[in-house]
Amino acid sequence: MAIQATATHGGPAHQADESMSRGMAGMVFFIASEIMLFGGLFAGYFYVRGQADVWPPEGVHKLDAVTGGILTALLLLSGVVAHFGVVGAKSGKQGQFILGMALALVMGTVFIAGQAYEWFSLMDEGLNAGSTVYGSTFYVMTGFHGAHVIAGLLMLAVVFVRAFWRDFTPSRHLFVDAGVLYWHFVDVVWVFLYVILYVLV
Amino acid sequence: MATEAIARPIQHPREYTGLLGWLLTTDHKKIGIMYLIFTIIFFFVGGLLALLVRLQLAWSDTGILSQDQYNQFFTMHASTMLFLFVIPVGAGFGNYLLPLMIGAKDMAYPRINAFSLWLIPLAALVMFSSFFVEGGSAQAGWTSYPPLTGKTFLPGSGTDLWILGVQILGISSVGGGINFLVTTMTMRAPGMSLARMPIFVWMIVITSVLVVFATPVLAGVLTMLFTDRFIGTGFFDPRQGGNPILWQQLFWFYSHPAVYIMILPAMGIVSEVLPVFSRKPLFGYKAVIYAGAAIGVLGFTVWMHHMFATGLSVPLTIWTMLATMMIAVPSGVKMFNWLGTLWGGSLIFPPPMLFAIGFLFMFLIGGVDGMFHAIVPIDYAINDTYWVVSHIHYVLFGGSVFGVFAGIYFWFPKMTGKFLDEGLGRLHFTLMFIGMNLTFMPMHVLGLKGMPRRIADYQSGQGWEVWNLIATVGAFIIAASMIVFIINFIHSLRSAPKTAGEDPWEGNSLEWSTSSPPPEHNFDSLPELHSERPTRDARIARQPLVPGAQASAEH
Repeated sequence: MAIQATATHGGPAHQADESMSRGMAGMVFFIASEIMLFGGLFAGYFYVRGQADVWPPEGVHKLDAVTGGILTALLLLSGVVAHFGVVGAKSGKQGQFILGMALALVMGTVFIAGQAYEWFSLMDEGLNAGSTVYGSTFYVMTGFHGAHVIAGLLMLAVVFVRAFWRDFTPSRHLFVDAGVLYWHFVDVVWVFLYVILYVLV
Repeated sequence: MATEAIARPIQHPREYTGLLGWLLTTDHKKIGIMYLIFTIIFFFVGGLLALLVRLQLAWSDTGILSQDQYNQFFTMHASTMLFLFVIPVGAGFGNYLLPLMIGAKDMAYPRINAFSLWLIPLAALVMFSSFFVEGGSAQAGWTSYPPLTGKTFLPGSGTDLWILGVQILGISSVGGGINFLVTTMTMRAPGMSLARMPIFVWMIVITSVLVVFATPVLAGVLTMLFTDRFIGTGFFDPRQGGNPILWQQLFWFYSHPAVYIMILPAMGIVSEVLPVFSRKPLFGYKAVIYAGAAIGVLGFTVWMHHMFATGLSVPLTIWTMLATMMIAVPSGVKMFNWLGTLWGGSLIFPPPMLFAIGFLFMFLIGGVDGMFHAIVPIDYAINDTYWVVSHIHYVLFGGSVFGVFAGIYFWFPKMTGKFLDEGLGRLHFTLMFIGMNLTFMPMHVLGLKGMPRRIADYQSGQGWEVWNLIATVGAFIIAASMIVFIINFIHSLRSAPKTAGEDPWEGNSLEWSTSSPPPEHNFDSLPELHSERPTRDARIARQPLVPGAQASAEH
């Protein structure tokens, strides 16, 4: 019973060591399962694309690879600045940490706004999720990805706020690592989406 | 030998007592027990639906259920049994046992663990509420193939609630799977190397890998079905360039590994029970692990054997047939491991052992009659007949459910400190074994006589009535065995004396070295471990692993 009582309030230093690897392991498995989620969507995409005579179907507006490319570059750059922020967190440079997170948040938000803008202009041009399976794959895949970008932005926002509260130290920044790892995952998935949806058509 | 205290902090901010202590707990043992209680309640719900289905089919033209009711009941029977019983019941045993078996204080993420648990009754509410909406519950079978599940044919919201419920359960499964993997990776006691983990832990690990990698694909394809129904996307609609076969591809990519998610925990339980009551070590410890891993890997390559009749290309058909037959090899390895464990042992036959041996017989039959489906020309003949129904019930009822009851009788003393009554346990086993074979063996005959699965009624004069009647009688014998179990469970829980002690069965693994029930932190201290049977080694050396564990028990 005595052990139980002390164990309930285990020392923070002790906890930090262990939960570090434990927390990251959880995030890595979570990302692995997310990769399978997108893997299923990609498989579905190639399945319906493979059986189509013409892709995209005739009369459908082609996606603009240039605008998409700019958004892609922006998202990749946000990954770089997020990493810059993590380096700051690890070396105790609070300014660099906060700047990196802020820039990544802004870039990610601009990406989502650009994506939303593209959705609405494509709908104006008549590309609907319900018109052909081409539209279905486009909206469902980018929609799934957009939801993940928003989840990633929420994580970065929590990191950003907690950075202001000085919740992280060079030895204690698990949430930063995990959140930014997730952000990198979101970026990488987008590169694949961009290539198959915008470029290889 | 100095004992080393495991000073891992448990993340319980506050202790509650009574009902709140259960509702708000993050203790893996309480969560595990609640998993088991919820899933067994769902097992009874699914069983009642099965009885109604069997009543309707007992003879031609019984008129007990309308066709709509029949479709809803058989669909919800399967959905309940698979998604709300067999899959989470494995997670329930895993929750209770895995931390105890590897000498940890709790799971890696106790709060995510509680979250995973409470998603299950939520999903059940969502799924069962569909009985009360217009159009009734889901009724396209648990596989929910489009175009039948499209808005055109099933406009009611029952199908949507089904999709939502299964999605919620998927989140619960993935959360649980990640939790098991991280717990096993990071929280093993000193000396508990991977090659010393109990087989049950290994099987939960392999199951968790399957859960984490397969379930998201189901989430994706369910979303496609949902958007097809709601915003008119065309994934499964050929008029828009989609294809209903796409559903089958992605659905079975999940659902074939899922059958191993359903059976591997039961195999783990049997691998723990047989050595204890044979008084021998498990024959070929490593072979069982490698065979389990091989089943896991091959399980990802054979999903198309559910789709032979859809006209796959010849190379795909042949590959799938060969890979499917290959899976019989590691399954056979395990079977010989279990037989080798029994061979020459000093066998005793308390209820857990009876259920474990029942598992061996039933799983063998299920495996053999499954092989007929693997062979494509035979599958063309028996596809979608009652042969399939027989096969899946021999592996899932005869396999998983017998394994689950072996586990319940085996670990009930650990969970409560009390034994389930042995005489009633034997009666339960006998009735269940007879009932099971009476129900499902005649279905082989029905399959060969060409009776299709999922029909609500049939014409007389095809020679189907007698076999159906036998199956229905068998189903009610199974129901009787469950009543015996419930009486036994309630009676033993209320009035059996606490005679189990730490180690009622002379067990092998670590959970038998702490009190029954274990204290909240599981072990006061553990020495460095040196084998995969620490409790047995300590018993033989007459040096308990955890001195005075009995005295520190809370109740």
